[in-house]
Amino acid sequence: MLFPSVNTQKSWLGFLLGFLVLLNIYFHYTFDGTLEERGRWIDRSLGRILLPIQAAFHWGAESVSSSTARFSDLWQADLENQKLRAELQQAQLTLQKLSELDLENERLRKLLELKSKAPFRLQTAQIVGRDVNPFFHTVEINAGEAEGIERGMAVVCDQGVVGRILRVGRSSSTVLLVTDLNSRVDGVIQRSRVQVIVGGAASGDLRLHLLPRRSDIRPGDTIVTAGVGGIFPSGYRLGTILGASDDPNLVLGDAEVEPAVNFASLEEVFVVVYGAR
Amino acid sequence: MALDKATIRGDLSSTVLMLGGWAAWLAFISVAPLPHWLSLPMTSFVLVFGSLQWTYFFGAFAVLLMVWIHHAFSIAPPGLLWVIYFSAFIALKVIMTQFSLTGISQLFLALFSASLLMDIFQLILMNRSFESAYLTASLFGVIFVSAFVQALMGIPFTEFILSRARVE
Repeated sequence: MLFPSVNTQKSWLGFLLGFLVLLNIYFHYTFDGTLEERGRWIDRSLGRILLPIQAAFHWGAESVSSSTARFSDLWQADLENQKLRAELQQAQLTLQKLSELDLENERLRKLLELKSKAPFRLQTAQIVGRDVNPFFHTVEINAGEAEGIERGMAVVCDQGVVGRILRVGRSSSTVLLVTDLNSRVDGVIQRSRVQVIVGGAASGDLRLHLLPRRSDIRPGDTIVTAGVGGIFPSGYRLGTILGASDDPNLVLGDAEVEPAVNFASLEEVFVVVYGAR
Repeated sequence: MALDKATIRGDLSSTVLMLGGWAAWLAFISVAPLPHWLSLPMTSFVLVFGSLQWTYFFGAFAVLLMVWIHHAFSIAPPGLLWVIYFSAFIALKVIMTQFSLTGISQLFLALFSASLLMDIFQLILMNRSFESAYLTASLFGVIFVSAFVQALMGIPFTEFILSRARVE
């Protein structure tokens, strides 16, 4: 008998395997080309047969996989989104805090610079209250006799002159702001060195009183304290000239001045304490 | 007209309550960072209340107490302030005795006119200040708005005041 009897399934499988091996050897030696191309030819032949099957399996697997991956990704994205939102909120809070710290840092730097320039002791105080009567411009500070504060002492801040001490309590004092109508401070025009008297105005700004005509003043000129009178040290900013009256019939004129200090946002001040270090 | 003890006790307790509340309000607006148009002393409201509750004689002392309370939160000269407040009180008292209050609009007008009068008194007597026509106009504008807001803020208490007025 030329072929062995094949009456069992196991024998059939063995036969098929042997046939394929022989077929492979045959194609391997009869194919006209390099060894590499022969390999590719087999691969391509097998590939052509298997590709549709693979494609089908791949499509199915990919569909299932992508669907589950999609759900998984969405779930992960949701979790990640929540986490990022929380982190963003924390970052925003931190940013706010840092912004506040930055402003505080800048303010304190200015105060330190101011403090280093001053040849006297500066007593720090915070504003704790304001005058309830809209016609008077005063503020209450949390420093009094216990801190060495006395009536008449000058009050300044990093922006310029704030006012002077009007009433002193044990641990608090009242400061008459330079913008009050009762306030008068000796000043000097920084550019032309013209001596002026700076007083408050009902509008909440400052005003130059008893200004001699033909004085050398211009809008935009800076006014600083003259240091006359022994209350305000010299060189602290009072304000900037906005405009002067030009009535030729008046012997003495006046001028409007924008205060150097923004009183609406003022929080910390320094009381000038002479004769102490 | 003789007052019995219970009426006097009632008047005193409501007066103490009103002045205590007013002092608390002044303490609040002196430290709270409120906008200027809301930081109003509400003196006219207390005076309208007083014009219904107090006699001229009692009112003189009550207004003196008001001035002392105010002085704790302001540098405004107390003597001058007493003259201003008491003048407004007398004016309100005369109006209240001549015309009976029957509604919110009348009380609003009373509060508004009292605020306006007191601020104008303060401007004139304290010499603050008519430096230019523009400033005068702007100052009167501020005073007008201030009086209007004070009257508005007094309206929620209208029922209380009116009920006291009806009892009297």
